[in-house]
Amino acid sequence: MLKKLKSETSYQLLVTIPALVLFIAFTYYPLISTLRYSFTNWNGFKSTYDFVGFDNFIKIFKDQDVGSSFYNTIYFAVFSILIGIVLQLGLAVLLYGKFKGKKFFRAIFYMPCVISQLVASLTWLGFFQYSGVINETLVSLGLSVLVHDWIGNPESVKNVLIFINIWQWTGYGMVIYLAGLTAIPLDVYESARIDGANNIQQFFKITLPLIMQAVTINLFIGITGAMKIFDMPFVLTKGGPIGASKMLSMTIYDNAFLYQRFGYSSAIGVVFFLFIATITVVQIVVTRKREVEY
Amino acid sequence: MQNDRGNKLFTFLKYALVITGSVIVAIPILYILISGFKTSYEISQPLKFPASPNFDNFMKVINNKTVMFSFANSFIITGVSVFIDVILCSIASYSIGRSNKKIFVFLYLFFLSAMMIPAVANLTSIYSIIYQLGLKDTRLGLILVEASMQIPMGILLFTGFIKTIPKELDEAASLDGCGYFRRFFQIIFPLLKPITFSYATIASIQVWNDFLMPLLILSDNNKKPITLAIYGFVNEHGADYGAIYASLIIAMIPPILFFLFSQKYLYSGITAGSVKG
Repeated sequence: MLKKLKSETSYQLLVTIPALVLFIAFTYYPLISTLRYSFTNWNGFKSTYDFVGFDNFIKIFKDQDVGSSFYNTIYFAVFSILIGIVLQLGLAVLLYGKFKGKKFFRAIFYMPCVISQLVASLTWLGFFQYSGVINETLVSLGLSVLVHDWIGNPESVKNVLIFINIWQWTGYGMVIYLAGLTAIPLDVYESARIDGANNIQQFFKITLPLIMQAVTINLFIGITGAMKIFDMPFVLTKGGPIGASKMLSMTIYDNAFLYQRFGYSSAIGVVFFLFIATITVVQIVVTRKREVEY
Repeated sequence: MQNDRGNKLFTFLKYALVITGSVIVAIPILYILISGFKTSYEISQPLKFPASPNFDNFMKVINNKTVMFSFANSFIITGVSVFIDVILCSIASYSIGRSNKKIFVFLYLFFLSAMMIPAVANLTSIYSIIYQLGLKDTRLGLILVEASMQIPMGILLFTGFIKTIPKELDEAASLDGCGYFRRFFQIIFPLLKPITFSYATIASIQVWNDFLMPLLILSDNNKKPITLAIYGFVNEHGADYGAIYASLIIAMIPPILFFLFSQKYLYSGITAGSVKG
């Protein structure tokens, strides 16, 4: 019997190896080697390079390009997540319960998530460009004063990207919240109603605490997704005008492949990873604490 | 009575908000769908409908070899990487979900911890490992990277599902003299069908839509997946918006069709991941 158990365990270990190898080779090993490159002056092509200690990391904090793209990324992430969460939860609450055509509307809201970010961004180009739908509509409504170079202006371009991002991902969060809402037993509401709680009280005292699990996961997806945003600004604005929509991911990309500073680009990558890891861990700990069992 | 009126108002507002929202969501897609059929002159009047459907824009896309090849490339890259993942993740999760040994708890957390590693932080080293392995500009290189990136979600979904399958099934199969692999492939794997579909659906959409990794690995026009081909097409046709819209429409067709047929699995996969996450 013991022998049989042992062979069971060795089989169990054996079958995890293929997944483990593939996972380590292209996900974990790169993380380690990025860390190693981050202490070098490698240009990515020469076969030799020197270790330069913390030079790259010191440079990061003086690099204005990193500073401004970090600011742009944070700005993008914070507003995408805050506005996104309100809309996702709001839509889920509206669609929850009796609603004619629920499945149809859920599909409509979800649809943008299945299109690539690249295609989704370009789809909006016709609206936001100077002679696009938005400005033409404003002119035809006699509101020419509001005509604006949405993508060409460093202030509005940031908000255009946030808008498109929210447009694409609201349905995703909504589906997760809907599942959370559906899992709440109805008798909880019944007893609250008997105790005289109104709709608003019910939402804040019952619904919200009971869907904290969905909030945890949506925030995680929102933070990791928004922080690594690349495709949309890359294809829509190239980071412009004057770097107003350049994200940290693009700075990493440019340093590696445009300026051939692999070592320096790796160092930015390491700091970026540590930053994301820290905020997501903090976020999970904080929201997990608020999760309630029922 | 007053409460009744309040309810009616609430219901009205509810529908009004949802309908407005869905119009905003649908409008850009409808807009390019119409604009793709415009002539280059009509394109300059964004608010007008085309006089008659014009197929020139679509011909430009269809005559573009890179874009047409890219459908086959995307199909191969997505299909192979997701197939590899389904096999590797389901069998690895069978161990992780069944055993209480510490090593498997560690493995589970090890796989899942990668969910917060953004690929963009490791651009330099993913590029150099692909280069060192001689996989630069090969579909195989991209397939391996994409498959690797989808492993954490696979482990998460399959492990969660396997834990809900009664252990008695394994024991009965063992008593009948089933070996480990036969037990997994003949008894357990067929039971994983719902989660396999869910995972395959979500992973396929992510691989199909990826832009950054193909950009990093592939430069040969004949090997490019759809995202990269569309990017190239858009750059070539700078101000030819008709052609650009037509290419976007063509690029949207596969994911939207796929979505319409796989909705059920998609929703259940997302929520399975989120409940366990």
